[in-house]
Amino acid sequence: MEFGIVIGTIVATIKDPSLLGCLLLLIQPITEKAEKKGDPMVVVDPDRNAGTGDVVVFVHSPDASMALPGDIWAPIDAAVTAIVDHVDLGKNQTIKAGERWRLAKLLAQLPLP
Amino acid sequence: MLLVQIVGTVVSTLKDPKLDGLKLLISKEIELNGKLTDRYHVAVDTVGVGQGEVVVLVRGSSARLTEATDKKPVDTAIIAVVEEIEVDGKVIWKKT
Repeated sequence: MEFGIVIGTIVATIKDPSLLGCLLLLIQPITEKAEKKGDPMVVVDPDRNAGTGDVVVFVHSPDASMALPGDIWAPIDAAVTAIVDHVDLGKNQTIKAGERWRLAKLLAQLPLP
Repeated sequence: MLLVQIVGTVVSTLKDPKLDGLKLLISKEIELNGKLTDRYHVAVDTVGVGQGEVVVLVRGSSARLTEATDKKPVDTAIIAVVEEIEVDGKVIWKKT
C-alpha cells in the first residue's frame, strides 16, 4: 500500500458495471514524508469518504478489487483503503490531516492548465 | 489506473483466437494540462470509446477482470470514459 493526496475527482458515466456507485479520485502518490512520488493517477474510492486534500492509503495492485463491497472482482488496480489522521516516524510527525498547504505545494509541482 | 487519450486503432487479422471480437486501441498518457506524453499503451476497449476520447486505463491482471476480457490474454484495458476532470474544486478538463 502507498500514500497519496487526493487532488481531484473524475466524472465518468460510462464505466465498467462493477464500478457503479464508486467515486473515481485523482491522487498524487507521495512518500512517507509527503514528497511527490511519480505522476498523478486514478484510484477508486468505494466508500466515497475521501475528499480533495485528504491523505489516503491506497492499495496499488489487482488486490484493490477486494476493497469493493461484496464478493466481486472488478477491473481496478488502485483503491483507497484508509484516510490518514497522522503519520508518526519516531519523534517526527510527518503528515497530519487537514494540512491544506501540502496540497497547494503538490499542485504547484504539477502541469495544470 | 491512468488517464489516457485514444490516438488510434490497431488492425490485426492474425491474432490469438481469444482476442477475436475485441477492439484494440492505441492510447497515450496525458498530463493534467491535456498534453500528450510519449508513453503509449495498446489497450482492449471494454466500454465502447472513440477516437480522441479521454479514458481510464487499467494495467496488469486487473485488466482481465471485465466481462469482455475474462480469461483472455490481456493486460491493459479501458474501463471508463472520462467526462470531466476536477482538481482542487476547479474543472480543468471537460468532454466537448
